[in-house]
Amino acid sequence: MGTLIVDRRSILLAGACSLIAPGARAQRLSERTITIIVPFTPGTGIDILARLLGEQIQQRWQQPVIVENKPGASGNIGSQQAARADPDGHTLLMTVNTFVMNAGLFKSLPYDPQKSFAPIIEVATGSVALVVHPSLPAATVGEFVAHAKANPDQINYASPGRGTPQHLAMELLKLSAGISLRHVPYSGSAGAVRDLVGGHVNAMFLPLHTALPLAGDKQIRLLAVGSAKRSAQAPDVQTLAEQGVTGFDVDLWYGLLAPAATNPEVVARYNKVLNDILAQASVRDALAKQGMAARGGAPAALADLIAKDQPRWSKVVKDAGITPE
Amino acid sequence: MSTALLGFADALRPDVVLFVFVGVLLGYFVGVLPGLNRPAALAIAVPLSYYMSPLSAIAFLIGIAKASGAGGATTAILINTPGEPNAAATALDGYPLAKAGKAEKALKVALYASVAGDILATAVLIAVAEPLARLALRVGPVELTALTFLALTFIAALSGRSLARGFIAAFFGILVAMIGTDAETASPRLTFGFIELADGVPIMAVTVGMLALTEMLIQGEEYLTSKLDTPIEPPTVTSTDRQLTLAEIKSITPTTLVSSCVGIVAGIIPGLGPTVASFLAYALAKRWAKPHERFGEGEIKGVAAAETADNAVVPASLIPLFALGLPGSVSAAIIIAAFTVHGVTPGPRMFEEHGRLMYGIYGAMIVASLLMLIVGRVGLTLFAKLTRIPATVIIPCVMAICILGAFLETKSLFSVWLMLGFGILGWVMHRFDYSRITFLIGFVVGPLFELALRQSLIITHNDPVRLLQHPFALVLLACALVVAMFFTLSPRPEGPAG
Repeated sequence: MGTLIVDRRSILLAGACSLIAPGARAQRLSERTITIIVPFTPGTGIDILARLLGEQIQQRWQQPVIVENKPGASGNIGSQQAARADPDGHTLLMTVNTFVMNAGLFKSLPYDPQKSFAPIIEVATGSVALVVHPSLPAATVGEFVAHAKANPDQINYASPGRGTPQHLAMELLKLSAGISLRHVPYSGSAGAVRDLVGGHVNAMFLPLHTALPLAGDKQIRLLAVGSAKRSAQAPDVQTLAEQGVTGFDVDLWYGLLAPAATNPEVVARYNKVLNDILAQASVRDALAKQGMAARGGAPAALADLIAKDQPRWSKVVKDAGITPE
Repeated sequence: MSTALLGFADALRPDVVLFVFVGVLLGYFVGVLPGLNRPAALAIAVPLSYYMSPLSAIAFLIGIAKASGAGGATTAILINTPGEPNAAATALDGYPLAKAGKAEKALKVALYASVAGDILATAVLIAVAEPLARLALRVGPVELTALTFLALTFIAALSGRSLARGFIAAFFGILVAMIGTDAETASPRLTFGFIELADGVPIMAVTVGMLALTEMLIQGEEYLTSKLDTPIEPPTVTSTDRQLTLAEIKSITPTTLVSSCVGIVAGIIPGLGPTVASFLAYALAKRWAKPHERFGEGEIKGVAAAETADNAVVPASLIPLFALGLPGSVSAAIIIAAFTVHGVTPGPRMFEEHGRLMYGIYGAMIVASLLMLIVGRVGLTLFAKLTRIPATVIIPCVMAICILGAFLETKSLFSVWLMLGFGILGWVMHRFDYSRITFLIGFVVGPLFELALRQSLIITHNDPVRLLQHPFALVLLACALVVAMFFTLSPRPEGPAG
């Protein structure tokens, strides 16, 4: 899971702007506390994102918002709890791509990504980048693919764990480019990045904001971003699709959901306030500085994204020969 | 030079000192309370740091990280309940000292050793961060496997009174650690269909159950059989039981220095972590014990070794961060987040771009060490009074803390049931003289070793010849063999009771 960082001044400014929102108390749901479940550990990007948005909602509605971390089983434990929560709008789930990827990775999932939740809004997207150790003779994706084809199964790549977006992104690249690489799983990003910089592993997909400073110091080489369009954070870096890997479109998306039976009127109120929050220049700037793009939009857009992504990743899992648990 | 001086002067600004103090206080509290761990406290504190100046923010977080290690020793010594898993090794001799009426002395040793380890590691960080970090980068999965193997040969010294029972206990520890999801194939192992076990058995449930709850069960049993409500501390406590003599300080100084080195190495190399560091330092101190020193029965060197290493890990884990922008631990990763929030990109260029801030952080780290000493000194005087509380009060209170600690880690009742189960298992092991400590070591080290080993097998394509490309790993393995042979041939010192 990448770490989302937000700029301090932006937060202060955003906080100050939202403090003066008129009629805040009138818009709120109730006197009760709103809980945003984050199915990952404190300090991860998604956790910090949830805390930032939680604080914004609290300031705008004058209603207490807390973030509850429920990590475990690739996010399944927290997602299960959110799916089973009272659909009264006071329990929400902040989630990331793994939410749909897990459908292909687990034989039995304790929730249905499309039926157990009422999508509220796609909050943000984050770019992932293909990076290699500088000792690898590849300055472009083409050279990387050529080198991998000339040395089948000799290049290894790290991931923060099996079934993580970074792992599946590389599996998708393997399938798209027809290459064979060895997967070295880690338990979290820290060890993986460190061993990449140390040259013990040759390549990996990294969140762009983690890759940029390391590439700037020439500790790693950045070959391409995984998204369909170039990132505003690194406009000079080409996409994988631009470098010949057709149809490659992988990013991290973060979404906010409510339990399935939540009143559509409540979902609409959340959607409106979050669209307002995400439209704030200060919030957008804070996210953009970290290679994150603030999104927003209608609940249906997130529903479509989930409906589209779930079969796509299930196919990657199947084609890559990853056996479901 | 002037940048360095300006930076160090910044560390003495009232606001910086205040935030370091608040951080140290918070960290100490988090350390004392089982279940609240260092990364969780840091993650919750990060949003607070948005509103501070960059120096105050980083200093505040480093204060939390440093003091949580020192605080963890308090309950480990007084009630055999490590506030953090890292303090489990501290309980080995700390708790027997407390039972012998020397709680205050043990707490003083723990505090001074913590601060010494912290200051030495901070000095190493300031002096030679970059060359050390570059050196540590050469340690990959293959080298880490060899290094863990070497560490295990030393830790085998803690196998208890019977070698065979020690190994059986360690085996069961490893077996419990196997529960969870296989890292390579992602298939569930021994989870029995419980989704709560997908990430393995929560560590606090095991450590709190096996150490604290078991201890309370043993004490409760003793109380019920004797029907005597005796305080843990005998009423006659002399001033020598409370104070630390110059001779004692001299005797623990070499242990402190060696344990600092262990902590620093474990901090720089991600994967080993503070729990392994403290057990390893303890095992080394025990190996080099003089004949009259009774490790496991209240030897202050044992407390000093474990605490020094545990606390040296925190500043040392910042070495890869300050030198290369790489996180050396989860806590360091959270501090990276805080740096970025304040517009500082962690990495080799931090000193060029933000020299004054960086020297300010170094200064604040030293201020944090000194404040730890003050907070800890006041704290231990207060906490030492806990030992005068009668068993009828302390046992239910500690049991409540155990339940809270297990619950806080995962916020689930499942962990509480697990903790209760491990408490009973610990009691059974105690009755049949199986070491709970070797069980815990197996539980903590097993998964680290397994992951590193499996990564090594992938990297070397299961081909032993490829090991020739890893000469450092071969040297470590050779050392492990020499050490293992030396220990097998030399008489074994007695292990601590389970």
